[in-house]
Amino acid sequence: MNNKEFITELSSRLGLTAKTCQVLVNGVLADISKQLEAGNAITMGTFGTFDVKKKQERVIQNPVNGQRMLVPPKLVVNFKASTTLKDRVQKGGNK
Amino acid sequence: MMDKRITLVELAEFLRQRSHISEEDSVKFVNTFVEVLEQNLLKDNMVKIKGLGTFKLMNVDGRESVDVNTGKRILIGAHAKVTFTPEAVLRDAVNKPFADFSTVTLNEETPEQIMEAEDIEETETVEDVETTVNNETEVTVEPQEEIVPETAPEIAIPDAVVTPEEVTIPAKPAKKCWWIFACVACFIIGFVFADIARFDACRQLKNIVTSWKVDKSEKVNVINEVVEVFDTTLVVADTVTVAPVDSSAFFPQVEDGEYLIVGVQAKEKMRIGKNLTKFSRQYFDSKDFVKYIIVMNHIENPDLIPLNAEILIPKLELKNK
Repeated sequence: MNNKEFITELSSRLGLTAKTCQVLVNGVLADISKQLEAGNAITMGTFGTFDVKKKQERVIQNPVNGQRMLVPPKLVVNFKASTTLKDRVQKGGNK
Repeated sequence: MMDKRITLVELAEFLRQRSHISEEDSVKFVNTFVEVLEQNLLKDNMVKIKGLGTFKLMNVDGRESVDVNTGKRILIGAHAKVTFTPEAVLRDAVNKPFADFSTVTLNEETPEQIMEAEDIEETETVEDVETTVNNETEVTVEPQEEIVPETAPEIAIPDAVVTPEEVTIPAKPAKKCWWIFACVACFIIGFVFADIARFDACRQLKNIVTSWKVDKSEKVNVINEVVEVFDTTLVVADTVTVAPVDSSAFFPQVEDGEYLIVGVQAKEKMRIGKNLTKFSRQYFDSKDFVKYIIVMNHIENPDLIPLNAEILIPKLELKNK
């Protein structure tokens, strides 16, 4: 499902126009982004949790030419599915 | 990294302030947002939201693993899991504090190259020792006053070999070589003593020591003979290490482990980026064999292993076969 389909379904459920819906979605996403930038975690009900993790710097080695490189530390967004979602995935989503 | 937990209610509150809609509507909107997301993820296996990222259902194949506590093999069944890949915009926004860093190429030699260089050096030094010792014979033939302490050579055989420091050989660098040489010889003599079949080698050595005692001016010959003994014992040492060891009695064992340590299958060097878990995965396809490596190498603190330490990878055999 792509973004357009997502907006369409959301708007039909709420009885809003696709345009308003997109504006509201953008608002929610902007807030999510802002919170994550501040280092906060976001719990989305029974769906799962977004949080920010720090990846430590590390040395990697190119297996082809043996060159060693230092990868800098990073902050990455991490999503953890809730246990209820995991269960539902096992029952419904698995093929 | 987690300062605060934001819930859906708080998200709805932010949305209300932002969009000037009623509280009821904002809560409803946020809940529907998550609901649609979840339902369609289960239906289509994939949902892409612009500005956030992509959620996907990935199927994971079943695999075999090892129970950490019992060491028994267990089967992890095939299952699906949810993955999330953030969009580049979000990813970069979150990584803003570290955005200035970039991957740097290190100019050091790779560990392989260093190890090769070491090997070459080693072989060279061995040759050097031999040539210098041979040169030495020519030099010391000339009469020269030698300061040999009367008490120098001890009667005990191993000690006599260990104490050559007290015997002054004219050229200083040669003395240093001789010292290294003596250490190696001493180590190999340990092998010789352990091996009764090689008793004649000991006797030969004893002769050398006695002859040394009788006539100190024949020291040159002694050196040559020791070199010979060294060469022969070197062969002995080689055969000893190459011979397969059947019994597990020689090796430390994991008491409650499922496997016996019956030998050494490889040697590894502790390098940056390596750890015992990686060795375990590399040789046994599971991280749960770390305990065997720890016991094998008598490691007291597995989290603190000196760089370039030599790690022996044990060869394992299932117990109660």
